[in-house]
Amino acid sequence: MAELVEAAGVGAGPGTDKNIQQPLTLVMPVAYERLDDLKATLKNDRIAAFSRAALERVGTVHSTRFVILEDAERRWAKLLVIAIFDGDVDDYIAAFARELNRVFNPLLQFVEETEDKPPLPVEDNVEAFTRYVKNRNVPPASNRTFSAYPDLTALDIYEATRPRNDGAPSPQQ
Amino acid sequence: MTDLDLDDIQGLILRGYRKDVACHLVLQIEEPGRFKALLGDLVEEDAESGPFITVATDWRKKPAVWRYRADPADSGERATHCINIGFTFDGLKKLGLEHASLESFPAAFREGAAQRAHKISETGPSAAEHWVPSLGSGNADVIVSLYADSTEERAEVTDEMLARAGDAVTKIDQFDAQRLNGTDREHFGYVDGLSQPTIEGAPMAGIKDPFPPVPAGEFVLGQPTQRKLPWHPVPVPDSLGRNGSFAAFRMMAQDVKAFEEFITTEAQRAGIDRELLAAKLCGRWRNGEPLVMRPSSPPPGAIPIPRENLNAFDYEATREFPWGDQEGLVCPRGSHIRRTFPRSQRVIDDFTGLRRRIVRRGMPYGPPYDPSHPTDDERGIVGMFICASLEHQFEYMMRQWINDGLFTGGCLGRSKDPMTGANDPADSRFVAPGTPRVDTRGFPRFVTTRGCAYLFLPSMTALQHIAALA
Repeated sequence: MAELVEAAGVGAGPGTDKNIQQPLTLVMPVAYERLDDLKATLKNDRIAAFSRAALERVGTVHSTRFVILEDAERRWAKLLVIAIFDGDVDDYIAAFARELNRVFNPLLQFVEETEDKPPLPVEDNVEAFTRYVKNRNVPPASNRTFSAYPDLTALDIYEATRPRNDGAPSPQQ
Repeated sequence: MTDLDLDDIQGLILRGYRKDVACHLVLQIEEPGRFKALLGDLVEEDAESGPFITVATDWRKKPAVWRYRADPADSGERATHCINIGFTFDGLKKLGLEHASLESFPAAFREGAAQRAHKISETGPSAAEHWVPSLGSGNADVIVSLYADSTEERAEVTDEMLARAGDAVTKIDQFDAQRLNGTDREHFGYVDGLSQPTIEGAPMAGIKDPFPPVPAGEFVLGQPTQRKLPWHPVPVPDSLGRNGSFAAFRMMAQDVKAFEEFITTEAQRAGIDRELLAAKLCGRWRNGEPLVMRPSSPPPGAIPIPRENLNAFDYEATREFPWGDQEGLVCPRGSHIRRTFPRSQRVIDDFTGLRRRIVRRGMPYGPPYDPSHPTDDERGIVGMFICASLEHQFEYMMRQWINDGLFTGGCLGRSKDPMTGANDPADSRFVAPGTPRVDTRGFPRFVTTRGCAYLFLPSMTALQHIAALA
C-alpha cells in the first residue's frame, strides 16, 4: 500500500492530514413491537442492493453495518448504524438522506416515536434528519482510535488499488 | 432534446456574448412602483424606446432589427451591446412578491451570499466583512450587467439605463470589466473561459467538449435535469420561476505579483521550467493548451492545438481517449481545471464530475499586470457563476472541489485549489506526481473574494409577472 500511495503522490506518512476519516455510531431506539419487522427489513435483498449502490455512489464510506442490540427480558432494542466515513459529518448525513432514503425511510418506521425523530421522507427533511443523527451519534469513549491508513479516503484507496491504465482501453469498453 | 423557449430565457445563461467590455451596475430600489414600470419597458419588443433585456435566441437567425440595435458594420446581425438583469432576495421582497412565492425560493438564495460565505471557505481576507460595501452590506437589490463592443458604447448604454431608471433606483456601485489587450486571457496570463458546458437545446456557444450535452435544467429552472428530480422545486408561481436561473455574481481579486513570484521561486527550488510549473498548477499552459494534450512545452515551430480542440480530452481512459491520465502524472489531480471540472473522473456523490456543471461568464477588471512595472492596483475577475442550484452546484464546487481534497482519489488530503483556493501558508500544499515531481507547500492564497451576491435571473415572462405586481 505504501508504494501505491507514494505513486499516487503522497510523500509524507500518515498523520499529516487531520480530520479525514470520521467514525459514526448512530444509536436509535427501536419500537420493540416492530422488532421482527425491522429484522426482516434489514435482511431484505432489495434494500441491501440499493444500499450498496447508493454507498458506492456516495464514495466517502469505508465500511458500514447495521447492528441490533436487544434485551428480550426488558423488552428494549437499539438499532446501531456503525460506519467510518470521510469528511464532514453534515455532508455525510446529508448524503445519507439524499442517496440512502430508500434504506432509511423503511427503517425509521420501526424506530421509536421520540420528539426529535425526523418526519419522513428523510430526503424532504434533511435538516431534521441531520439533527437527529448528530444528536444520537455516540462519540468514541476515547480519542485513541486506530486506523491502518488514517490519511487515506475511500476514493484514495479505490484509485490506488484499481488497475493502472496501460494505455489500452479496458476490456469493458 | 429539450425544446427551450429561447425568447424567454436571459441570454447570458445559455450563451457567451464575446464582448470586449462589460459593466455591472449594483442598484438599490428606491421606488418599487416606478422600477416595476421600468422592468415592463425592458421586456417590450420595441426597438425604438431604448435598451432591452437580451434573450438567448440566436440572433444570427433573426431579422436585422429585433430587440437589439442593429450594428451596421456587421450586416445588422449582431447586437453591439447586451443587457441582463438579476435580483437578490431583498430585491424581490421590495418588489412585492407574495409571501408564499418568496418562501418557495431555495434557502441558499434567500439567505444570500454574505450569510453563507463561511460555508464555502470565504474566510480571512475573503470574509464578507471585508467585501466591497455594496455587496457586503446587503443593500444590493438588483445587478444590471451590460456587455458592449467598446467603452463608448458601454458608457452610452449605462447612462441611458440610469437615466431611464431615474429616482426609482440608486446606483450604489459599478464594476467595469474589459478584455486584457483584446485577448481572452485573465490576469494570471492564462486563456480563460475555454471550458463551458454544451447545453441541450441551446445555441452552440464556446468550444464543444467531448461529453453528452448537459440537460438545460441544470441551468434553467423548470427544464429537464440530469437527475430524476431537480435539486429544488421551481419557485412559484410557474410564471415567475420557470425559465429563470440563479447566479453567484462574484468579484475576485488576483494577486498576480505574488503568483508570479511563487512560480519563479518554486520553479527554481524544484529545478523545473517555470512555465511547466504554471501549467501544472492550472492544468493548462497559459496559451490554453491542456497538459493532457500537450504534456511538455512545445518545441519552437510546433503546430498549436486548434482552439476548437482545446476541450477534447478526458482524464479517464475511454475509447475516445485511450491514454487518459488516471494517476494525474501529466495533469495533477489537484490542479485548477481538474478540480473545477473533473470530467469523467471518479468523484464523491456523483460517480463522475460531469453531474455538477456551472456556466461561467467572467471578464477581467483592473489594469493589466506589467512585470517590468509591477503595481499594487487591484485587478481580478468579475462575473457570474450560473446554475439551477446555488447550494448543490456553485457552493458544492467551491466547498468540495476547490477548497477541499476529499472529493476524489489521488491522496489530495484536505488541500485546496492552488490557484483559486482559500490557501493558508500554514497548511497549503500542492503535489504534482510524475516526472519531474513537484511537492510545494506554504504558499498563500492568490485569489481573494472582494464580493458576492446571489441573484435570481428571471425569464421574460417572470419580468412581466413582476412588472404587473400590485
